[in-house]
Amino acid sequence: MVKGENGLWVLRSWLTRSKLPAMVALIFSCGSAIIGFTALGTGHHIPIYQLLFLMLGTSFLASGICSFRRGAKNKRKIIHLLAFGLIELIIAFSASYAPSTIDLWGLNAAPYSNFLFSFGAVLFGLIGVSLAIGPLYDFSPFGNQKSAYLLLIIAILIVLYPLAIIIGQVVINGAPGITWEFLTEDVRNLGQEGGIFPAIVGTLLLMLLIFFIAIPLGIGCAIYLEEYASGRFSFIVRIIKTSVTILRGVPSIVFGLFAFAFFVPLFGPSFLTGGLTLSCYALPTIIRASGEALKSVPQNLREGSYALGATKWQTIRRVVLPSALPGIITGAVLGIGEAAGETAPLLFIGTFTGVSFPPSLFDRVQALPLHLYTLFGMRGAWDVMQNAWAAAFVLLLIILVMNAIGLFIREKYRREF
Amino acid sequence: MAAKIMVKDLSLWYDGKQALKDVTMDIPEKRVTAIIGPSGCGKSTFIRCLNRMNDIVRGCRVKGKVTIDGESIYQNNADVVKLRKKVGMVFQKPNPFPFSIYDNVAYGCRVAGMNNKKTLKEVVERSLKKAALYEEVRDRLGDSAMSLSGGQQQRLCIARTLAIEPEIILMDEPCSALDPIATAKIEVLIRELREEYTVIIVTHNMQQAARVSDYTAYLYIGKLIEYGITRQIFENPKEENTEKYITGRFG
Repeated sequence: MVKGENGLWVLRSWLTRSKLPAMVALIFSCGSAIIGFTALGTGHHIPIYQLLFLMLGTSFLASGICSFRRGAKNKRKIIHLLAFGLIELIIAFSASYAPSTIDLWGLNAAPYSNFLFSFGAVLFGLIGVSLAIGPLYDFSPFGNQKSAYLLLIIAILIVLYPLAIIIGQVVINGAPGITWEFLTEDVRNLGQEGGIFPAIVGTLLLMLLIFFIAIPLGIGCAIYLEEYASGRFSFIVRIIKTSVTILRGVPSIVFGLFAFAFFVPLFGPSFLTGGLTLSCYALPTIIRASGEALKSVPQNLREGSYALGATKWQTIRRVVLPSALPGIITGAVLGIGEAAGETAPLLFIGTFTGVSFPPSLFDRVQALPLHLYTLFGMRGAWDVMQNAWAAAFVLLLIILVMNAIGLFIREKYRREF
Repeated sequence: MAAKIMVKDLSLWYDGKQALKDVTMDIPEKRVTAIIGPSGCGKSTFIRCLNRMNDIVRGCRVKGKVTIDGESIYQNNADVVKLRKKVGMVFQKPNPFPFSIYDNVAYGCRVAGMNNKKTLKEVVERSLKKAALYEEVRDRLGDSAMSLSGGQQQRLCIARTLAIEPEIILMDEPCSALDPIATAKIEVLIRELREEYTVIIVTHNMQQAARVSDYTAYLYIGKLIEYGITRQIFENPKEENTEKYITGRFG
């Protein structure tokens, strides 16, 4: 039916066919969720909330109306869209009239606090995304696949987002503090001046000590548990494995207390004690990862070796271990990196100043995480934040380099079965 | 014909489930003996008894007697390592180690303590030649064994087994993962190996059993139903069950 060149009719027919309103709703919802998430994470106040809710509401209403006119299949979803748009509009308008605090029988509440608004923005944004996708959604298997990929990518982005923020913060705040003096001198004037050279040396030495203590022990345990004991003493092995898992979950401060009660009386508050404590902390990770790596070596490789007259040890030494090496290296690097970044186990044994290079195993040692912790404790009273950020930057750099080396070795020895 | 392997009343249980029931058979020297039968009948289990490969399977119990060259292999003081050097095995799925081709073939000798480079080189070369693989890999002995095709990998596994100079070679469906061309190559190889070795091959492929073997044993649910000269088994089986299986009218 031709109605002539009626402008209103053209607009209406465009609106009913166009996906634009739903797209706008989708973009607004995504924006709302992301801004809200950022505000939640950083605590910054973002003054455009009301505008945001206003825009969300409008676009939802529009997309709801459009879909309704198009006679979409899923009517319930459209009603949701309309209701949702109304709710958002109400929030947007009522926010300006609401009192800034409410006195609930002596209990003060701020109903439109930054937190609530951010949280609302995230929540409504996410609901909005799910609703606005409806009119746009392609319900074919291909469409489902695409949206599944999209969700997975979003999951990755959400994971990477805080990581990027952390690294970004540390680099931005820490990098300007890195000077030659900072890297090569000891701390002076309660951390306000000087550098972190002894702490860097201490952390590297601790890593070395962990390497020599925890790696042979951990790999040895893993080999015994996976290769030798699993058949004969399966019940005991299960208990040991469970214990290792539990040990993995023990808070690091408990390791610190344990060290204070057990190692300190033996070796004093020393480098050796620190290394032993951190090794204890790293062991479960190394055992678990090495065990998994050993388990993933195909049984038919072992059988092939046995069938050629190799003994069990020869099989482990020559076939199983080399095949499991990439996984074991990953576990070892993870374990050492984790332990080297720990503060709590060193609280009772480390030192803040005084030692530049431990003369023996039985002297005190500085460590970067502990240094950072101490500096942070002085903030406010003394001007130490620049040095604290810089120390954090160096610590992060050491751990990242460590992981990069691990990755490199793993790729080099990667084997296919 | 001298019997190389004598199996007497061999029974085997996995976690209490019986997989072999009183198998008794004599396997002749320097002949190819095929073991056929439907899936799950205990063929693989049976040949894995001959080099005590079942030892590493948890919950496995063996009863009965297996003697090789008159020596009982299940007696208490039997040396498993020595036994496995004498009885080599090739598996269903090619399982080369993730090393170089050379190291794969040299592996058996190295674990036996042979480290002389010159001798090793000779052994590797000889074994690869015997396994009809040498020409294809002579220029890339240092390459990873994983770079070979499936058929080449399986011949590499055969070469690896030949390198330890066994007297008996067990083959557990060696061609089931291979294409017809690779299969044909391995079948020719098996016929050649017969000159020097006692070969026992498990196969699902009846034509293959007929082509390569001198003797055939038919197993059914852990029992040895029929055992005899291949031609007789295929052309004139005594048991009805055997005939049904061979002609494909099973079940």
